[in-house]
Amino acid sequence: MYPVFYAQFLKDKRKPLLILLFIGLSILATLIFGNSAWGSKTSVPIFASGPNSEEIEQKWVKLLNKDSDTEYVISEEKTAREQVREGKRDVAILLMEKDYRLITASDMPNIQLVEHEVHKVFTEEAQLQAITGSADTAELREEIDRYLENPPLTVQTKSVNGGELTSHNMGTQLLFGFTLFIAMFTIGFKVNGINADKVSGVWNRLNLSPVSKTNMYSGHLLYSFFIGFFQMAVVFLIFDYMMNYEIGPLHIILTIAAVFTLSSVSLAMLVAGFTKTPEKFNMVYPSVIPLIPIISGVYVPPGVMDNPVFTFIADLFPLGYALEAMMDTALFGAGWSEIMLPVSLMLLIAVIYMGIGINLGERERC
Amino acid sequence: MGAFIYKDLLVFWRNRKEILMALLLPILIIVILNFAFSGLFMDEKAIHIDVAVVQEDDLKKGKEQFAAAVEAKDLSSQEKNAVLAEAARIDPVQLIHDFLNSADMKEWVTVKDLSEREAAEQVKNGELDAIIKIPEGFTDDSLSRLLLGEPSQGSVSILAEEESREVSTLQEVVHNFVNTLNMQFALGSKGFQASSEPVLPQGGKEVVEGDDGADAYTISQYFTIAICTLFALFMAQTVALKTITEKREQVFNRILLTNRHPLFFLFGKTVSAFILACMQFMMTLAAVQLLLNVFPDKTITFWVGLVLVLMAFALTVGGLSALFTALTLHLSDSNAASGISTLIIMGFGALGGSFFPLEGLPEPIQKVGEWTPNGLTQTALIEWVQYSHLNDLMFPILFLAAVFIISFAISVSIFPKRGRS
Repeated sequence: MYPVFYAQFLKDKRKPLLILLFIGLSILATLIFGNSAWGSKTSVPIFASGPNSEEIEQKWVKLLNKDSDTEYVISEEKTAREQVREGKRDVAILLMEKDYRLITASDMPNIQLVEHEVHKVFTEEAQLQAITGSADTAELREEIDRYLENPPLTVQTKSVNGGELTSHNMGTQLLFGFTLFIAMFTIGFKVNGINADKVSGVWNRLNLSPVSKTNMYSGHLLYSFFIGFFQMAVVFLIFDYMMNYEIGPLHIILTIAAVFTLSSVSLAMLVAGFTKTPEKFNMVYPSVIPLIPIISGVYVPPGVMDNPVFTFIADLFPLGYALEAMMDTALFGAGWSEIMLPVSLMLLIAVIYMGIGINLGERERC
Repeated sequence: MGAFIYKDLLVFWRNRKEILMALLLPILIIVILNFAFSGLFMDEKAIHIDVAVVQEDDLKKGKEQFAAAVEAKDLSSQEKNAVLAEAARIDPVQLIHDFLNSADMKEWVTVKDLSEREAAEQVKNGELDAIIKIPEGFTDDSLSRLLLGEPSQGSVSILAEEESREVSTLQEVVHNFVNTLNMQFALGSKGFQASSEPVLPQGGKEVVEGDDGADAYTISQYFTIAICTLFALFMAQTVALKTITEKREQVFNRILLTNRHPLFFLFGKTVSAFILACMQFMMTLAAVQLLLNVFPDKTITFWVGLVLVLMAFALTVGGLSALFTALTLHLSDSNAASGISTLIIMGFGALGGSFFPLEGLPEPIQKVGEWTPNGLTQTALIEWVQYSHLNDLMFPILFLAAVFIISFAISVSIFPKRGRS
């Protein structure tokens, strides 16, 4: 096993450029796409037209941005319309003295949310204006704000057990999701080395040597495991120490990552088993992998993907389990006992796929 | 040259599994996504919340407590009477009950009255989504704040096991309701009366229009285009990477011995990639259109424009395929060749927004993404779906053709020259 492992390492050591590029770009991509610092606020361009447009914009931008998760940005009418037209933004808002129009070109679902929020702000302002009888509501607003600092009724959300109900954090989910997703590519790329060895004849020569089949496979797979795990560990260390994200206790997260790497190696082995040549692997693997995060619901809040067929398909892949375990650890402080179930399911997947994959790979090649 | 194209198509045709993969996978994915997303957003109303109201506050006792508090205050009896009369009119607990049982809410909220222990049990079993708890002293606290200006607050709690779509919807609805109430109270406390009817905003949507009345694009159109372009990119790689097999099995060397110009090999790859990409587009679009009617009621002009842009994109795919082929022959290490082409394809896919939408990402990355062939095609076609301005198509088609020419030129220049082993 060790010589096979070492041989893989030597191959990369002699030509380090490609693997470094691969790992480097993967890490970069994870940091860019998984970085939750952006994307936390959707921004909506707003604009007014006419002679006193600036005044109108200034007035509404303050009111709209007050207690809002959406960021409303004043922009040029032309650019805003252009962006909507080209599909770069879903919606822009045309402001008027007492009214507004949503400018949109699609029926994307988040438009309703924006409309709801904007409507509320405008209605409130209209009521205040009706009371003061003038357009200047600043004073009244201040008075009401002062009253509302200590409102008669409040609502709070708590956990049934009495503690805080930790709200779900989409940013953290994307961070973990992308890290896991992109690591699958690196892992597949390395596992493909088995197919490459098989077609180049190296595999046959190894067969004749005293090295056993088990050792040949485990050497290759162990090396793929280390590369994949190394990449994820680097990403998590950067997120934890350099970018200071809350990703939970590192030792648990890394354990989950290790188990995930193991089952991803198995998944890649399964694909390698039935594709048999590195070219076919390169065709099948990258087109199937991007589907897994979609089906596993990495890009949407939990509970949204509740179609039973999809949930079933998603359960066949390790990504969903790893994500769930990591989220529970990072957000809800889950300990070893809580992550046991997803971890053991991933191990199960690892065993089954590895078995099928190696079996398929060992079949007579036609 | 015909023979070369024939050879490449034949190699593809011989491998049925691969053909099925390349042609069926995009269709399958689009169908899956379509169902996944239509299930997501179409039946927004299907959301149903089961909630229990746990009332620990005793109404009568609350009012009595409040009355006692008023008595203890240093107020004239007239004022006291006014406050008490006011208090008799307001019943915060009832307001909440009324709200939850109102006709609007009834459609999607089921309210049960339970004791806290029972309710907590049911939340844990998953029978209930959340509990709304009105704690003891709620009436007294809120009335004291409301009418006496004391710093107390009537606080309602929403108790839930974990955050879910149901819980956040409930949270939002209750928050909105309470905010409206507070606002009313705030206005009431200052004795403000509306001097005139408020001029309510009309709101409304304005769909950005072209000259001929544009249509809004749908999310299924968006990912149909995204998946089509993405799989065409994969096609470029698939065709090019066949070169590795051909190199390994000495096909390329044998071709060199046939006294044909080796560049024909490259042309063969380019043209067959182009043809295969076109076929893939046609089959995917035809199947998706027939199955899901993704582009309803479109004119012939629309389809012609769509096909034109996709053909231009297929040309780019041919160019990329040529580039990868030349790269494979140029580099002695075939793993490096496939690695680099995977990186390029994945880079295009990710930056062009074919894997996931780029909206949340910083501006510079989005800008770069617009200049990837697939990103540009995506933008151009989304515009085309809406406005059908022929002029808008000129630039993307020229750009895609330019990408083809550039990558083809690069591949010819790095294609192994004579005398190189």
